[in-house]
Amino acid sequence: MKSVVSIHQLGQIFDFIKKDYRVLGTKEENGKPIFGEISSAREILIPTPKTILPFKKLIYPAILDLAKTENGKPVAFFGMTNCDAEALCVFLDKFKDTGLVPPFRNILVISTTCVPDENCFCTAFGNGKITNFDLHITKEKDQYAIFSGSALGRKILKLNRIKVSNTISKPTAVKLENVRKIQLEKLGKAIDDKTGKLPFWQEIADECFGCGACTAVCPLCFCTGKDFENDAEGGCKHCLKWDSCYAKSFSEIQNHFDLRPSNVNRLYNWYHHKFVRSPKEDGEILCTGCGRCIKACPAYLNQHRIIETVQNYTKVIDKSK
Amino acid sequence: MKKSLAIFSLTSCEGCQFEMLNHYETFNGLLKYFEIKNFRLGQENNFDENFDIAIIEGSADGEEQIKFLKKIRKQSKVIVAIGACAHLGGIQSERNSLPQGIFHKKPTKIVPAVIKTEYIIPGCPINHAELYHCLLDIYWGKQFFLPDLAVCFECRVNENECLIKSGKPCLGPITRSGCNSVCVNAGEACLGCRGAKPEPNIEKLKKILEPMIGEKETENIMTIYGDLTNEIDPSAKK
Ligand code: SF4
Ligand code: SF4
Ligand code: SF4
Ligand code: SF4
Ligand code: SF4
Repeated sequence: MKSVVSIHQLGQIFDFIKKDYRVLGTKEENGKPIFGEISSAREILIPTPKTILPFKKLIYPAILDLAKTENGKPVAFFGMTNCDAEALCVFLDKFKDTGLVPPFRNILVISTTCVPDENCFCTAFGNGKITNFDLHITKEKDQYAIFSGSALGRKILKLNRIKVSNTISKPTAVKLENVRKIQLEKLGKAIDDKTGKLPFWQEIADECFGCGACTAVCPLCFCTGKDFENDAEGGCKHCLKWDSCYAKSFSEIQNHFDLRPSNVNRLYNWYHHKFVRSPKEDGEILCTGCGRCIKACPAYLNQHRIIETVQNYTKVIDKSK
Repeated sequence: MKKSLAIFSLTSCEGCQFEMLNHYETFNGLLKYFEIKNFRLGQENNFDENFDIAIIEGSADGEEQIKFLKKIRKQSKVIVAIGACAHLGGIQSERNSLPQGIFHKKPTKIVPAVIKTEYIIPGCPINHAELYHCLLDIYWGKQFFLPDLAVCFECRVNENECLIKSGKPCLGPITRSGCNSVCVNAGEACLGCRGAKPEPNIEKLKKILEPMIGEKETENIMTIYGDLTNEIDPSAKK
């Protein structure tokens, strides 16, 4: 269902939501789009460009002090791209038994049209349809079109006396030029089957710093290290800190024995976890195609091109058989 | 029971000791656990005896300092070398690469090259919180570890624009994290004062930096703090 509202009405809806929710979304700070606390509708960037760090920094901060539990208002994301809304759903699902993050059903999601950049490849994994939202907003000249995607979304519009047209309409799907479909099953098999492919992975690892930047910015990387910090009062602060499978310490056990002794093993694990292990375990790949890792990589590696190449690598192997 | 602590300085700017004095409030808390037996910069009465922990700043220049270092080793159960000078050689190690004879002195030496060193706290200056935690961990008998990702990881967490990606030099990709990318947060390049992370891909960084700033300048910025590749964990060397 679609409604068209003025900026004034949008502000009204925002204030209505703000009463009951802690509103988080995409705004501009120091000339950069970032995720942060939103205090007025005017702050929200619609259409929404990509932030360096995704939503995870707000609900699962880089350093999480376990002694401090926040018991505030429920969270609403207002101003979030479609790919991040999808990632949020998967992210929270991975944490559902931890009690560390709120369940997805308790988070209000108001997604907004995105501003695709040259690194985006979300359509490679699907048809670009926008489906994961309570409300979805796009800008139409100086007005805003609002789509409701859930009973809660419809209720919010109703309580704000927004007229909802009866004709069924859906947000326009994302379209990206030059992004070809990736066949997930084929990709998974190609990554999982290591036979004779070490030189292939080594070639990529030779170009990689193992810096972990790509995991820091990924909405679907959530690996965490535990940290115990003694203080002078005799106490011990217990924190969770973002970690990365690119860290040597991540795969080290006693006596510095490293289960993934070299960067090539760590790099391989990144792809294997995202496209093989996770789909096997939970039926979800750990990538939405947001392209943040590509932008973040100081080595100019392109994770999108890499998976495209791996996918087609099977062919080479088959031919040689 | 309190452990005895000594803080010594070799060839350096004493910046790391000042970093401790600057955070006096923080370190003051440690006096519950440590008795400072020797700290020339911080107190009047100093003792020449055996210590549980000796903190050493600076690199060893000449026979006298080498002898002094060996003496401290004999007197101390645990050696904690602090700062880029002790760890990498520091600015003064620049002369190690000059032709012999220009300087009358022999090459300057990093602490682990002279004596067995249990811990290194890297940085120019050190991150005071890191030293503080190292000391408490030693006190409680807990193993102390340094973070081992690259500065880039922290730099992404701080949402800076990447310098390399905007065509400017930066050593973040090969440098050990743990400083919270302070330099890049302040708009400056990381110049690697914390030394290299494990398995640093130096060749790759050269491939990126050389077309950007030339071979000579690349070599220059990679050696400002001495030899970046010096092993951080002396116990892992075996
Ligand atoms: S960001 Fe690039 S260089 Fe760094 S670990 Fe990831 S792929 Fe490697
Ligand atoms: S790719 Fe690595 S850091 Fe990301 S979720 Fe998987 S194991 Fe964790
Ligand atoms: S792997 Fe890269 S493209 Fe995929 S979700 Fe993570 S950051 Fe985005
Ligand atoms: S600015 Fe430097 S430290 Fe930061 S991500 Fe880029 S290369 Fe890494
Ligand atoms: S950013 Fe680099 S140069 Fe600056 S303190 Fe950290 S390691 Fe040292």
